[in-house]
Amino acid sequence: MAGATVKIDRDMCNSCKTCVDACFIDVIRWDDKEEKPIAAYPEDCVWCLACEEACPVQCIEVIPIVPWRMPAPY
Amino acid sequence: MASLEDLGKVVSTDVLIVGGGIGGLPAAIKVKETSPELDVLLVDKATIGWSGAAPKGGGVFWVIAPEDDLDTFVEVHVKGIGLYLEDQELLYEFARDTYGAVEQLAGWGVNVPKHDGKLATYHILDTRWSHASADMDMLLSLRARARKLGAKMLNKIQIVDLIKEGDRVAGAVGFNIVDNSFYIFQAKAVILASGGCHYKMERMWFAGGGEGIAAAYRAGAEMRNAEFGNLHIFVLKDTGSEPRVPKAQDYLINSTGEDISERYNLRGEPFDVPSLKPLVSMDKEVAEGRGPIYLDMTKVKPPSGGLGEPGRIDWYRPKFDSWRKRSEKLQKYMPPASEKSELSLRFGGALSPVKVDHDMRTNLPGLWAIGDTSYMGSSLAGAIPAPPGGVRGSGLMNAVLGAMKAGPSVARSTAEVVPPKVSYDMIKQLKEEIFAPMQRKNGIMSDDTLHALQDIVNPLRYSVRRSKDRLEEAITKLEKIQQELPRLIAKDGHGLFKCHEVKSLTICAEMTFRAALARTESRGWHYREDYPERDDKNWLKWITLKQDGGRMVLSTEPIPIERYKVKPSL
Repeated sequence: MAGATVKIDRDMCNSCKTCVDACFIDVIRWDDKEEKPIAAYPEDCVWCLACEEACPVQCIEVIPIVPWRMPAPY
Repeated sequence: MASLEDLGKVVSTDVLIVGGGIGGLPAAIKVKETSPELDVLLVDKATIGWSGAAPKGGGVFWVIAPEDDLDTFVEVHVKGIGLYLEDQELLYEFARDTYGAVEQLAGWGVNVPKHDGKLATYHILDTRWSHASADMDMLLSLRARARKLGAKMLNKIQIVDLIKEGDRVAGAVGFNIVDNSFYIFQAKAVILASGGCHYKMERMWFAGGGEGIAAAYRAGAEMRNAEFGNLHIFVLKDTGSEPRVPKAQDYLINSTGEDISERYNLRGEPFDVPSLKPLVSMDKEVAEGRGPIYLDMTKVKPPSGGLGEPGRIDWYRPKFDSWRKRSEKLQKYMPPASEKSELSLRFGGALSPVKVDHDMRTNLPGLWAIGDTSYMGSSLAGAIPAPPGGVRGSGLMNAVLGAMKAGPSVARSTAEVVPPKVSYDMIKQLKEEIFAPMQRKNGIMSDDTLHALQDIVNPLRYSVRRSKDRLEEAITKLEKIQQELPRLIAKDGHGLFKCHEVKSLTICAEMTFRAALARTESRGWHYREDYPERDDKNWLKWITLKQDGGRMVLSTEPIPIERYKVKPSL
């Protein structure tokens, strides 16, 4: 498992929801009340950076937790 | 009288496509192009347009370009990669269609590189076949095309099981991972395009939870070539990331500084014919007390050739470039590179065993499987984990080619089908089983089960340097995990989704270990220390397996080698 700190600047966010679409493992959810994204399951983030890359106003930063769990091969 | 609507949301369609990636979207387009009157519904556990492997890799497609020789490609593949376990007729057919498939993607709106009006192709290092590219947002173009043709789409729904009416597949059930609502999809035909199984160890392949494979297995679909689901890749131990060194097997040293690339004759292997030999050598060195293994960075030489010929590929991929820059940003969080980096190996699995014919039909009426669900099961790849099947870019290409076959086949077969009836009692039972982890108050978490599973599939002694004793030991450990699965708990839809992934992964692991135990020879990526030689006399056979009476039952199927062009000397 990987995991990351997913920082979302809600003031900068334009509520386009693209980051929710871009996240393929359900780390980012949509907060209906605030109409903003939330990093709901950051412990499952695998640093694909699709959310950072897709955000049109660059308000997301993914900071990986290194190293991630790697089972021994021997 | 109780109705299905009491259990969940009932959705009826002619064609249900599970997975909206680089297989599912082209399949939807092909069905609609062939029979516009058919209703097509795509369902995905993530968001269609962003899901699956295509938006995360390099956007590279394997292509046999006009200057490549088709016969040479097949011969190199059969003799060096798939070791006579390919369905050579399918390999010819698919290889022949690769170039046209990329042109078709361009016709559907995907931006692909052209040079002087022709598809621009290139070679990676010394590959004896070509590649073409598309940018990483290719699925958004395909989604727009599918929508324009009338395909419907639902996101954030994990399909768990197939519905059957007699022997026929009549739809699927699943749940919305955000609001936990239960869905019942009734369909005349189902195309599985939900990806392969990667045991959640390779970051970019995390979507491959094997759910489609497990659902097909539980429904009675046959599997094939599961013993080759053992892809391992080199990673740097400190970071878990791949070393940026082509042909890393050329620069291996052990703890005493001995050149083990020399000792095990690992140098000089062609880049385009991947071998299991470096992995077996590393495990042997460590087992004999000379580990760990390092990558000697002082000896790394730049490879000849390169990633294409810049003059020829006069084309810019902004999404890929942006993704690459961000990936480089991750480097600042990683330990600095040293002259002697300890190497590790990470299991990627790459299991895609659903058995299909040349139209991508499974043995179950009403069920087709494409892309990473059936790459190995189609026997396109032979004795090697697929994707990548030893051919970079063949994962994406296989998905598109499978869609080109399955789409018209489904359209032709579905017109005459009477809408199936679905049993209330069966759906009620499936619903109870699916949501059971959310009903339990005490039990085990899916992450703990996943880690226990990873600790069985990752060690080379079980997955690479195999023997009867070690495989039986792995199966015994796996059975203990399987006995604990009824204790999985989840507190919400996200947790439930992970429970079903890990259940699927344990089924996939069992397929690989049992098939590996049955193949008493060594071939390609299947190495048995107790049967170290290739045995063409007894093992020009495919191992198939399916569920029968609640058990995994294996059998063999002779390869029709007499029909094929490339034959081994017996």
